[in-house]
Amino acid sequence: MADVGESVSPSYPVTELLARWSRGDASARDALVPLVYDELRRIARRCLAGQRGNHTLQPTALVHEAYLRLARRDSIHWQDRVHFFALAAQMMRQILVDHARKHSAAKRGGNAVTVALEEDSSIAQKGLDLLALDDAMKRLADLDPRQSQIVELRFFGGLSIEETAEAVKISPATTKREWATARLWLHQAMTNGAEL
Amino acid sequence: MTPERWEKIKGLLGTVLEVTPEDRGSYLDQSCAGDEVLRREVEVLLQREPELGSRFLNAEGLAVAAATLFSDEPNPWIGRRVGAYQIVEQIGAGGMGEVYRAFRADDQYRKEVALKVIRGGQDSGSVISRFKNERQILASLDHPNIARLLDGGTTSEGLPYLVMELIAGQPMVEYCEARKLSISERLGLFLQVCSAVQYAHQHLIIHRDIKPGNILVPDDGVPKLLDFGIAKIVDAQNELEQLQSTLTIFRVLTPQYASPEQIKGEPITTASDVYSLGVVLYELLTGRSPNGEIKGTSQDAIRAMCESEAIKPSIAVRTSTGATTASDDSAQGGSEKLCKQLRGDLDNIILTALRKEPQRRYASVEQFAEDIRRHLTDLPVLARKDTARYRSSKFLLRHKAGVAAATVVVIVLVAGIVVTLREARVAQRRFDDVRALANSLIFDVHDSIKDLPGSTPARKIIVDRALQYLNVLAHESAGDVGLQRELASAYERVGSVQGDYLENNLGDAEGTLASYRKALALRQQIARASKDLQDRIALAQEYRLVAHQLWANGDPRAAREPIAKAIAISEALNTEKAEDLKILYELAFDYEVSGRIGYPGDTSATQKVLQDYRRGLDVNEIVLKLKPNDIHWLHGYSTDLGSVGNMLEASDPAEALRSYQKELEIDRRLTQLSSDVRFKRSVAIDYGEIASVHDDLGEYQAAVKNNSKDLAIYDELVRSDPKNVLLQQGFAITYMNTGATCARAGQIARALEYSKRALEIMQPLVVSAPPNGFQRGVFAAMLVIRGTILTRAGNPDSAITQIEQGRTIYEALSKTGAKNVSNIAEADVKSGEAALKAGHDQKASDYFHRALTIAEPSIATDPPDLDALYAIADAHSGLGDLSLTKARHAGIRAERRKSYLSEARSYYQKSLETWRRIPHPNHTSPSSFQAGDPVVVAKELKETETALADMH
Repeated sequence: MADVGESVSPSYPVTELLARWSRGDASARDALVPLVYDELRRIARRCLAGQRGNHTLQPTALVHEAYLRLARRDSIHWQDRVHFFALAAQMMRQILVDHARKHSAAKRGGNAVTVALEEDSSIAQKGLDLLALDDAMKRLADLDPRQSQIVELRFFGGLSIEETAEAVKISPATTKREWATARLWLHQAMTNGAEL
Repeated sequence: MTPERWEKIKGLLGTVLEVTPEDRGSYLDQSCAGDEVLRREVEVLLQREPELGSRFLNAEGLAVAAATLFSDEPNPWIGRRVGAYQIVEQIGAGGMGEVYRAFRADDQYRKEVALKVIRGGQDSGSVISRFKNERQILASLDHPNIARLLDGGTTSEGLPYLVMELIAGQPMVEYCEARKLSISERLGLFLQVCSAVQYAHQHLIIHRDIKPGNILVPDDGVPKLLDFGIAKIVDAQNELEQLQSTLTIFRVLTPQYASPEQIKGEPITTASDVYSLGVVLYELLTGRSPNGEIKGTSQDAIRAMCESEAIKPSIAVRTSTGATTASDDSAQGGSEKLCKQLRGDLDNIILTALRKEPQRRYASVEQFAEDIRRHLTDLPVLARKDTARYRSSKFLLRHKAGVAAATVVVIVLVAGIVVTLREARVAQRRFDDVRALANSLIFDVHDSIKDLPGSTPARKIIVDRALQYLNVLAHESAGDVGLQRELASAYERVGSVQGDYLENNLGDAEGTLASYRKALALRQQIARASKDLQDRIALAQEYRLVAHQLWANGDPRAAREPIAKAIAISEALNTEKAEDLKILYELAFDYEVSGRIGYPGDTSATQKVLQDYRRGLDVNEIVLKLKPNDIHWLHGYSTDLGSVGNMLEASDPAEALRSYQKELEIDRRLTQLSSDVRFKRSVAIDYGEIASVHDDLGEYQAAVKNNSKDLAIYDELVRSDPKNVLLQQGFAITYMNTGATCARAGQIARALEYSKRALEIMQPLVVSAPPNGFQRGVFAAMLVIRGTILTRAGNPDSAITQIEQGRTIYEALSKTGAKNVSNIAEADVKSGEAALKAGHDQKASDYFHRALTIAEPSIATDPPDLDALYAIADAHSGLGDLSLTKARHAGIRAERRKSYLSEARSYYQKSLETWRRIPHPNHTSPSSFQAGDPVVVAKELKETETALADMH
């Protein structure tokens, strides 16, 4: 009789998967995706239900909460945290963009869905177009993959400059510059894409 | 654009962004050096900067986007029925679950309620059990400013849900804004919220998640606090983890309102609610959060929030832009006026509540509220500005995990209760409040931490405090049977924590006995006033507890009377109600304790003890057929099996081994059925007992193997609760036993190491503990055993020092009434053997003769004392060895040699005669001391006789 459980394990702990992934095991990443994805989706949906009062949305709380919940399942080490956030950032982007695409397909004519920001932002009237952002990020990735990843980590993952620096293994000062220039480039690309 | 091109633009752009706007032009002139295309490309991007603001791609945008996108996913809960309730719509969501509006489907009035589904992450098992415990307590909260908990249950998927009073109101801050309430009106509302929190604290419930969103004000203007204590249900597991790990960064709570200790994952106390109330008041009066806007939840942001001090409310309102305020006019003058109103008292009051260190905030919500009332009536307030000394010392005491954490919880909680108690008296509150507090302290607070590893110091504080309350209450209890019952069980509980032999205890055996005696006196009074069956059972239990404790404290004679009373009551009850499981249980337990106590001075003690145990086993087996997985019965059964094993160890080792193995099997089943550490300890003890039988049978390898299993379990247990006296004691005993076995197996190095370790663990326990006969006797025996190992290891002089030390303890115990003369004699024999080995012939002879003098009276009885027999047999053979050694000295005259040989022969004969009186000679005496061997003595006798014959 064959040994049972030698080849496939249905439930690797998150920590184990993160460790394997950080050592370059791509299959570990694939196993992590559904875990993180499910958690993010659930939290994101809940987020909308809103709370009483104005103090509702904790920026990036979604990703952090997903981390917390998965980390609680088995204790994730501090070093693995950055890997986790990097993955969560990818997932977050994927989820949001998929959703935005579905939305836009559902609405007549395929208009892009925009999300209103507060009034004192000049971009508010136009809203943040997630599909345009995703598109711009893909173009940025063609020019500079690391810079596009930095945007992903900062925006979709909610990582600080220091955490982002740790994740991509460059100095915080460089990360800060990359982030600042990427924002300008993306803003330009999203509003006046053809020129870049 | 190519990657190379972008690289170039990016480099330039990055630097330009760091240059001041005025200097950018000249910088670009210089850097682009005529490449106008490059310059234009950089400038196009640079122009974006002002338009971009800080909000483009900021974190809030992500959350808003997510929320909006997911808003039209249908919610499967709508329209669903949960328990007796029909869900209508979602009205909220939070870190712990979703809230729905629902109505009772079977209620013709269709009264609407709020139904909260609780999600506890992955660990729903612990959430549910926590939930069941808390629900009762929460449902008892009855206060006009607390939303009532009406019902609760578990959904078909197993998620716990709570049904609460539905409050149709506005969040407090919005309510105040909409009506433009004045400062004093706002304070009035806030005071009502404080009274709700204070009320809950008196019931030992901490809210843990106070925030404006949890305070709703309906049109009638009476604020209601929601979600009391619910965070605890969700967080309980978390907290356990926190005691063990310091790495908890993110928590499901609302960071703006959470206290620093909550954010850092430290223990949550009533002071945490004081802090959150402070944040709410800050926001209510200034329109902004004391911690500013929290940017992200990264570790750095949170750390900053935990450590940076809040800006004074009066200054905050002056600098706030666009925020809502408590001002009634919108102009600049409004904020100036507000600033004046807040400056001074209100600044100080709020900042006192917001201090980072819990112990420096208001000691209770009541004090916080009182200061606000003083301010409203123009009395001087108690809050003072932070002094420089405080500021410089802050956070020195930051973050100590583990045991310290558990202690802090209790200290702060107890401090809160003391304040409450004093106030209760001042206000002439009902006596019942004190009673409820004492009970909560012992039963809720103590029980909630008693299984936490490392909780012993915290428990000690609880016990001391609880005893103070109880003694006050006992004075006033005469004639009140209900109160007497409560007090008796409270004393029992306290006693068991102090030093009960069987419980995880604090090492105060005399304190335990005193508490049990107080409980017994109360039970006797109750039994005189009540004919209730339960009271009679409780009386028997109390007698047994006292008996058991007397025995454990080293006074088995005194224990006979109470245990006999317990058995008499239980047997009478059993005759009245033969099938009553509760009574059967008591009866089995009584027999067990009676057997364990023994029958000191009784000639047929052994038979009586075995009879007790067999009676106990009979009762056990009857009941276990009916209830095979009953933990109590299994535990009783295993204990009896162990006792029978003990009894039979000498006379029938094979049968004893079977008993022990059965016991091990039962105890292992118990560890599967329960997480109680006692059962784990039992398994360890079982291995030790099995090892001991193998040791007796000379199967040393098997003995060492089982002892090692025993040690491994103890090691784990001690690590998880290093302050636990009982565990340490067991650990030490196990080390010593293993050491002695190793010595017999010839593993001298290991024996030396283990026995040393045993003494190292045991000594501090004995030094710090109050007089405890059992413990001191164990220590004395250990010293003697260590001595025998040292003798074997070729270090007889050190051996004598150790044995003498043990003997001194035995003598001291003997003076307090312990019946241990045989042990003293055994110690002298061991010293004699060491002296013999060291070549101190005279000293050896003295020791052996002293042993004989001491032990001889104890073998004149019928039956003779076994330990005394071993001592005498060994003393004689030791004297024989001494004479034989002398006879073998070179150069002595033949006549002299002959006389030594005759002496030796006579001693060996006496030794063998004594050995014959021992029914089942063993390698060790009943007190576990290494003993001689009659076979060896017989051989020596033969050699002596041969030598004598040769001389003729």
